[in-house]
Amino acid sequence: MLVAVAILTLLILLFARFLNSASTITTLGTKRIDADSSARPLLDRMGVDFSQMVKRSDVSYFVKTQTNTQVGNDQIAFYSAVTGYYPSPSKQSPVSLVAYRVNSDSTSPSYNKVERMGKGLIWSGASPTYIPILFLAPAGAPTTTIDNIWPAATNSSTSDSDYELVGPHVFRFEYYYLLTMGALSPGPWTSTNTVAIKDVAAIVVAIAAIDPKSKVLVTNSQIATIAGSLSDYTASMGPGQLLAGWQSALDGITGIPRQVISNIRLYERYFYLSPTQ
Amino acid sequence: MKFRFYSSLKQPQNKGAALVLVLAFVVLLSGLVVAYLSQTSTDRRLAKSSFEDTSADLLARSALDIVVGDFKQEIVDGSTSASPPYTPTSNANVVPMRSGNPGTVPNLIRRSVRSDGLVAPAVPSRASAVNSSTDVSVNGRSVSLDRWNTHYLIPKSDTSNDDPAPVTSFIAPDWVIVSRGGPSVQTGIGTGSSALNNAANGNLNYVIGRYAYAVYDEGGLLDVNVAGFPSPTPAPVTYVGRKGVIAFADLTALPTTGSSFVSNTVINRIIGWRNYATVQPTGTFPSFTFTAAATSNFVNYFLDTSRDFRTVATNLSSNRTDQGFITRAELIKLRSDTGAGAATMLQYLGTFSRESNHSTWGNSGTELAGRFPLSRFDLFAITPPNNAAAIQQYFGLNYVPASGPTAEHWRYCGTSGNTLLSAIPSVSGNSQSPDLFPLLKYALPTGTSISEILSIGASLIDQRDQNDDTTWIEFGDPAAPQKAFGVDKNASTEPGAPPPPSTLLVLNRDFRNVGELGYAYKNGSTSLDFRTAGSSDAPLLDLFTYNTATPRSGIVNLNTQNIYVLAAILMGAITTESSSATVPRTAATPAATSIINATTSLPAIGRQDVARLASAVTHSTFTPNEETKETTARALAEVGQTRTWGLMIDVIAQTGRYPPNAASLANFVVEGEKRYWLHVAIDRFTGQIIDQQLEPVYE
Repeated sequence: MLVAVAILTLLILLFARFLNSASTITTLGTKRIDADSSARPLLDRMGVDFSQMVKRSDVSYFVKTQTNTQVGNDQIAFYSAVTGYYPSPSKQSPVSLVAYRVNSDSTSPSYNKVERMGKGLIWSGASPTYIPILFLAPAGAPTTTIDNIWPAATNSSTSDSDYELVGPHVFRFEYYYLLTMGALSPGPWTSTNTVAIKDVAAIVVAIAAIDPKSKVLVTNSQIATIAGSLSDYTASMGPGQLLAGWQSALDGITGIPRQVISNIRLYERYFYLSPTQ
Repeated sequence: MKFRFYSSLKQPQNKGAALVLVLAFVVLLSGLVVAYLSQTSTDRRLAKSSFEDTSADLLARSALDIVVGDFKQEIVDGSTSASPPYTPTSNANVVPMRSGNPGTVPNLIRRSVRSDGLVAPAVPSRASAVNSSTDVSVNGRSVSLDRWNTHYLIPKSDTSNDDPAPVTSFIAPDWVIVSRGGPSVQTGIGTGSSALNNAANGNLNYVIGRYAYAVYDEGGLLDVNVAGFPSPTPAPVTYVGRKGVIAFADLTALPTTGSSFVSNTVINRIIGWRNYATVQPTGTFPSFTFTAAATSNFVNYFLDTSRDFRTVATNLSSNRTDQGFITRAELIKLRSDTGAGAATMLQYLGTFSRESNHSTWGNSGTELAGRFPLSRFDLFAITPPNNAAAIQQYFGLNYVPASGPTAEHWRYCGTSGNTLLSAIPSVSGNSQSPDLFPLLKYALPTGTSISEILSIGASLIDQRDQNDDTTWIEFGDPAAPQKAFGVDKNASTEPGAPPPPSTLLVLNRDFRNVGELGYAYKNGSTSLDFRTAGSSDAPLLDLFTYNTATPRSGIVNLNTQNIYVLAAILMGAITTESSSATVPRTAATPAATSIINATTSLPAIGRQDVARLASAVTHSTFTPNEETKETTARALAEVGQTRTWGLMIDVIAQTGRYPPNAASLANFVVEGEKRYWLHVAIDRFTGQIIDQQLEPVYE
């Protein structure tokens, strides 16, 4: 009897340990999958939006430039030939205003999460109320800029009903450019009105994501602290250096549980805009 | 004892406890593993899907690079030198060679086709004997004929609806199979280590994807970002009738359903949306109407000689701007949303066109910096001139006011100084910007006398100035200067001046298009000839320009095979300045057919060929006299070009593989797909891509 009990106990312990190990392995794997699952659709969505970006010299962009350096989380807004949320069921043009941001409004449920604006635009001349895509006018000092017309698209905290959560576990968003001449750049233009988008071969997006299980272990304030420690892209950085810098910064963070830091995952993707010449 | 122990284990309360516990653990563990595997499996599928999308995108872009590269190679191989300028070895090589075209699709240049009949200098497509439409893949994928015509560039089989089904003669492109070693013609799966389905490392034949494509002549279409004018037609009729910009192409020449043509209502819907802020129509989208003031705004905008039309106007009205067609998909949707005409009209319209505003005649592509702006003749609008310095700079003339019995006249002194010249300098070197007379000497046959060249210049001035007195120019020995006379209504009173011709037309206004130079005389009785094949005056058509922007949009390739594009350009053109008679649709279409027959047998190599094309037009509207014969030159030369290949490449790329049991090239397993429409403008004479627009297609 004793032998049987002992063997049973040993078996239980063995199975418990086995189960625990399996659980640990699957939990780690699940966390990684959760982070991947959060990052992948966001990056894929960006891929669709960027590939159909309206690339012209006579339309407005809200992107990083020398005068709009965007410290911390970045924002980008542009016109894209994708469908969006239209104000009217009819007279819908194929163009939408698309914007990405990490919400910085601490009272918003989307705080520290990536949101995407997909504002469907109607055909020009169809309504005095709803604004269509506007080309840059008047000459010299255009007023029909995205920044002027749709301020919510260029602000990280202003609410707009056309924003939706697309990266609930992505808390850091940074981008820079691969220029057609081959150089990486944080934005060579002097202002958002002088963006020569045809000089851009690709937009390089870097994001940091945390899985939901790890996220519950930290406060929003701590998330903001982590995001703040991940530096902006600078002109001196070469390929891969931004993410390497971010990883070093994460490794050096103290005061936040290690298991949280170790489960933050970094991603970078090149979105090519133009074919080669 | 042994029995008792065995017996105790058989007690009901203990029996199977261990087994239950072990089974519970196994169930728990199994659940955990199954859940994990399920999640990882889902994640793997999602990751693979994302990967295949990216792979297909890269394959499609690579395919486009290959196709464009083939066109660039064709340019080099079809030229007299291996470095720019790429002068075509013959007229046939000024256009891309056609292949896989049944002849019923005028816009189609080539498609990927098996046993490609393309010969040098063109590069065959490398397609294998697998059709994208009829050879269905293992997993049931094919590209229907309807899908191949979602851009509506192929004539529709049924013009009464929006169904994109193309004419039955159109054959879908064949697949170009891409292996690790690149695209090449394949004849079968093969066997062993070099088989197309053998994934072993080092097998360069292992297939990773395939692509199929069709290339259309978008440069031979009317760029709808510029073409078309509103109704009521801007008055007077001369606004449109003098042509000069593609905006004055009459879109009502474009057929739609049955015997119908595009209506003015349809055009107004497009123009009202496109030029909303500039023209300021009344009404709301899409029902716009135009007042006389609105049409006047329209005319003023499009007659701006420096506007390149690559961007929309910077006007703002009611907080709205003008619009431009960003993609072809947008044009298709606008037409559908507004009911703006039948879908069949889309085969005549493009959304992307670019051209370097530069001549191709002779060596002018390198020797001249650009074309001579016709607006410079406006300096002679009044005398005494307002800007004598500019006249000397651009014409080499010094003004001499009337004195006693001697009427006002000009002295040919060149671009500096005031010493009479007895010879006209020759153009030498590259990128030169000669003044008028060296340019005329450059264009006219060797040996043309200075007197004749100056007479042509004087006659051009007479056409532009606003008086009826004959212009004359002194030149030669200052002690005994010679005189070259123009042609105007009032003969010069100078000794030796010729009388004006009996039937004389003098414009006394600004030139609207380069063809109007044909109103000028090269001596007292003969006008410049823009109506005869081989005319020695024809190079002038290529060396002058109304619109000075470069690069610019809205210029049509003279070698277009699309009859109705040329018909729209010709329709409404004034045949007789005095009566403002215009070309009706019934004359424009046969004239366009004649022109296309002429360019098919011998492609136009430059705008100078327009004189030959004019001679090919035999419809009675064009033939009564020299002026009517030159209607073609006036309508066509200014808005035509030959140096740019404006292409729209429709490519579908599929990633995937051949499974181990694949028996034929059709047995492909499709894993990812991407489609692009690449709009690209390639300069035939420099080999450079002037501009391009990549349009992803989502269906």
